[in-house]
Amino acid sequence: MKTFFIKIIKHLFIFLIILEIVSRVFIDPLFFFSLDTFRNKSCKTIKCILEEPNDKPDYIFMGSSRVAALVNLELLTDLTGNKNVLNSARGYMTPGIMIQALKSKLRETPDFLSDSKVFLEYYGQGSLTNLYIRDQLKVYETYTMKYSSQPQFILPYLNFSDLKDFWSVSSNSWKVKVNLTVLYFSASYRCALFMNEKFNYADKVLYKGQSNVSESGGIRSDDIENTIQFAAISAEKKKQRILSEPYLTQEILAESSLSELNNLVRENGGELVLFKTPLHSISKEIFNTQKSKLNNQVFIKWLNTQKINLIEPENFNYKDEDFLDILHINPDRKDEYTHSLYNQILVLENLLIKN
Amino acid sequence: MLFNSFDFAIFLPIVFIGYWFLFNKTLKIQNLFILVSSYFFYGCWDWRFLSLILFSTIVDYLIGIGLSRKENITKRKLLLWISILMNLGFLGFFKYYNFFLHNFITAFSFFGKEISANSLDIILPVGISFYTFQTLSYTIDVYKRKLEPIKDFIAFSAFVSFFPQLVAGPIERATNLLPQFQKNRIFKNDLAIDGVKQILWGLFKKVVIADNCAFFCNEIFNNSSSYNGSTLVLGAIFFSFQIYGDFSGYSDIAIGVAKLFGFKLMKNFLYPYFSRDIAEFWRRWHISLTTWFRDYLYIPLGGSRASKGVIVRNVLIVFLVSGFWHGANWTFLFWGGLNGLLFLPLIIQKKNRKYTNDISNSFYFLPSFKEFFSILSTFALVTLCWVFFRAESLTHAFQYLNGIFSDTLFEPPLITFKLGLLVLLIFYMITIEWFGRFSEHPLKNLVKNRNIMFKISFYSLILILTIWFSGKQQDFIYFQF
Repeated sequence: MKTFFIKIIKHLFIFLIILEIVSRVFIDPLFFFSLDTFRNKSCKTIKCILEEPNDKPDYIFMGSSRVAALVNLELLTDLTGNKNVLNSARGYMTPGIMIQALKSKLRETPDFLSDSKVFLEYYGQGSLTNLYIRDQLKVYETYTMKYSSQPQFILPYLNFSDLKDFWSVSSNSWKVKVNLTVLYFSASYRCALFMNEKFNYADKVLYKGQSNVSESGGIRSDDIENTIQFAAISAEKKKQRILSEPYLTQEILAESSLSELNNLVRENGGELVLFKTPLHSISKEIFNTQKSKLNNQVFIKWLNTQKINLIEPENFNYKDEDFLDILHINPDRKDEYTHSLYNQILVLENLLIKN
Repeated sequence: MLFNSFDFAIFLPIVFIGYWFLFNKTLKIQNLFILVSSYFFYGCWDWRFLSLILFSTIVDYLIGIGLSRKENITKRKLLLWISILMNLGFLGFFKYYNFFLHNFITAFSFFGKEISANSLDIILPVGISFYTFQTLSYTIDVYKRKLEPIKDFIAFSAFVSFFPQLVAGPIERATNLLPQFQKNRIFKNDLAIDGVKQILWGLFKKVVIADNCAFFCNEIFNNSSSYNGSTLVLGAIFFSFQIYGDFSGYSDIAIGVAKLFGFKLMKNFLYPYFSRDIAEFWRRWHISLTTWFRDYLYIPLGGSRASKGVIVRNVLIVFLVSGFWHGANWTFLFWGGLNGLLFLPLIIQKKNRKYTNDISNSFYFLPSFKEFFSILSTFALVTLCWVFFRAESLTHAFQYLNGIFSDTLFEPPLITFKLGLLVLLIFYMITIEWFGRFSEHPLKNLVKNRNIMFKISFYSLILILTIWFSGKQQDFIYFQF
């Protein structure tokens, strides 16, 4: 029995060392590359930042998969007369990751934001208006079994002391904290997940009859039924959460993630602009309560004091049927939305020139 | 609790430690621990059906005791028939009730008589076909005086519900497994190491080959009308590897796990896709079921020592029953019948035992051209039959075949990145199995005489492939049988 255990443990140990070496040498670079908000496949710019590391964008779009799926980069670049436009939005984004990614990019390229406009998706009270101190390292987490949490997206910006902070300040659950810690230390683990996902999702082409928005940064649409169910449950949870939290105040907003992001952008020579994205009636319902309406008034007032513009594409009419899965509008309407958004950007630019 | 699940990865070491370190004082306690663990394992699927296993166990145990005490042939026969009717009655009710009801209604309406009957919402207990046949083998063997009935109820219950092979076989014979529950088991290092190797190979076949093939099979079979002939051929080939990887993978894990506990289960697969004719294929595929039907159905019917007409009848009965055992659907019956028809010419010409020697002489690296052609043609026939096994209905199967043999057969098939990678992984599996084909499982002796670095690289590669390229977790196909 002793020989058996020694043999098994010995072999497992050797195997883990081999796997760790193979993962660190061959897979890790690919893994981290795909995680980096400003370099991954879905982050596209006409003049690719990766090709020209010192190049800096005129417009940067940030936000969730909604933005990745809504903004047609090529079209916007054409419309703006070849401005350098970057869409760094992606699924499972949190304000914490956005800010850490931006800080990391600024360390690498200090004038990355100078004279740039950062367009940030805004669709109502939520993670952006939460306290930054709690959310600075928070990663996406879901409480349903169907969709797993996504702690890996913060990894490229995390050093060892940040990891310690993550345990103390992040409001994520202990499961996610353990997961992130294992991801941080074990290349075998993170690369196994990465390889497995790449392999299993390699053949999206087989899902016929369903347009898949994941190519443009949106969610996978081959699992529509579950996504719809998930979105409905999430909307209800969010509504309840807002109702249970204190009313928004100028003080809370001054300490919010949005405020932190605004300061970061301003301090580095850029300008933050919020833009509204279309909402399904189920999502709109979250903000239909009296409390949400009052919160919104406080929020608009705060935006004015901070001189942050909030734009909403006009003449973009949509119905619930236009949503593929409650969260994402059908990519067929991407160009139409981009046109409307561009018109608002023009209005904004003219306004700024006039002022 | 699937073998390739996190739950089982926790369950197995706990049971292993409990079995060898905590409950190893007496044989009875060790057997009782196996019994409790097995009932827990089964209860994780659906605890309600534990009562079914328990009832079946009690009845067959008592019948076994009864058979030992009765000398009167009529009374012995009566006891045997009680066991057969009870076991097959449960199986028939849970598995075939709705099938027969539906077909009766269809048949009556065909003759213009409308009858109304409500089908029942019956859940098929996992593994019922397997443990039913296993307990039947016990009663029949005791009846035939091949086996002394067991007095130890705990050992008998553990034999019926032994968790590694409870839900998908191998269908053990009482003559092989039961005595192993009656004697002290000593931990054997070599046997346990061999078990771990077999589990590793089974996992590779299940999670890499079967689960990934399932991705393409489901897509191609579910949308067969929109694919060209060559892609449909690819779909059928992938199903051949899916069902092989799935079922033989399960069997390898089951046999490997049993070895960790000091048990030797019977072989269930012996490289069936290297068979040179259909008869050899059926000696190498699902061996525990094939030999069960041979011993308890084919031979009692008269076997091959009869006139050609009787042989034809016996062969067809066995294959049809075997098909029906797999599921209450005409597709399975047709699949069984088709295999029977392919088998008949060989048995009539007495060529069914032409290939009882090893596949390809061990001195040769590769098969001869003749052997290669035989292997390939047998695989093609088997794959053709699998289309009926996989299809949703007979109409679907014929439409699928119609799609294959259409003008689009010579158009290029669907080629994708994952598909290409999967073909390489299948080729890797075939290569390993080819070189390991003289052993019970390919990893047993394949790298036995190699140096340590080669061994480490060899096993590491299998593990890395299993971790990196595992498909989306799918249930084992044979659980539904």
